[in-house]
Amino acid sequence: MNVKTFDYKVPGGKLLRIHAVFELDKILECKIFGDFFMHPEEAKEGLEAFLLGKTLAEINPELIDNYLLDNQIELYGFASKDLIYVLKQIYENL
Amino acid sequence: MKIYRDTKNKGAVNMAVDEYLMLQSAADNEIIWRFSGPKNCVYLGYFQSAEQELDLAKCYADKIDVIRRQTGGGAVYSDSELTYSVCIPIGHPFLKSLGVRESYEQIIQIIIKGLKQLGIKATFKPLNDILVDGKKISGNAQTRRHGVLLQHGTILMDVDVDKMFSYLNVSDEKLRDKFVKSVKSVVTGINHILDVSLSFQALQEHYIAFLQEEFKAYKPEVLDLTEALKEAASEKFVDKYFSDSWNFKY
Repeated sequence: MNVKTFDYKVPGGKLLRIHAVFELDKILECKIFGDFFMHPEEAKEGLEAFLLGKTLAEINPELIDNYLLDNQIELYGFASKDLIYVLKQIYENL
Repeated sequence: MKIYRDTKNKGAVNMAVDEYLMLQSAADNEIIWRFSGPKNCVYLGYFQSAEQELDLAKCYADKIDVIRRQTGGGAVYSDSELTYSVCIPIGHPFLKSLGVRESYEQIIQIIIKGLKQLGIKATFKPLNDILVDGKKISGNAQTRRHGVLLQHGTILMDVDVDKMFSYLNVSDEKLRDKFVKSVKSVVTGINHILDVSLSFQALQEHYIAFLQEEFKAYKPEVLDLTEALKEAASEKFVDKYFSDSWNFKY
């Protein structure tokens, strides 16, 4: 599998780095790194798992925000739209 | 309230003591401050990859420990700083708000007030920085677990940017000089601002005295952090901060 990486310094926020593998526009693998804050920290793996198997067409900020809200996850330094932006950058540069 | 006077420690010991004091803070339902410093270590933010962020070969060659924090934020190396840690039980009346942004500011304003008493005019830059004349003098990070809010942060004293960033990977090595120059213009330390250089002990005693006055209502008790406590903390978290499976988990 060909893992692709994209780094994005969120304006006014933190660095968001994603490693992802796509099959067409479906996310097969996704690892999120960076100098942001997430409360609770252990929620990172759950968020990554939530994105797996979804296509870029399916993902939108509301979907991710609802997941964060349902699981009481707070992000500081990036937002759902930044996550989607980075995934799209990876996909478009495959 | 307790205020612990600590020494410079190995990074793993500092992280273990922070988490140990969170448990103590929860059990006793009291605020605990600690002032310490790092010794030969690079701290990684919780969500950072050791391999991606650090020049690991240089870390190994220079016997620099790589230690992952339980808090987010960025990688940091400094051998001249005072580190503060504060544990506050969730629901403690001191915490005006449980909000992350608000609690960062509430704690950071205390650190800023301590700087002001040294004659240093500093400002809070959300989310987690303290600036003096537009330059960063302090980075801070927060987590909540065990029913306690932990915030820890640096108060930079002397800044050697070349050394500070020699252990960090810069995405394009050709840009390292430019990067270091740009960082030099945005980072500062207390001893670059004051006319007289402060020692680690002097800055620590300043903050301890300041907190004793600031938190008079909480009857602060000042204690030297014992070796026994460090050993107990290290033993309790030996599988965490002393293990590769934690420090190199990403």
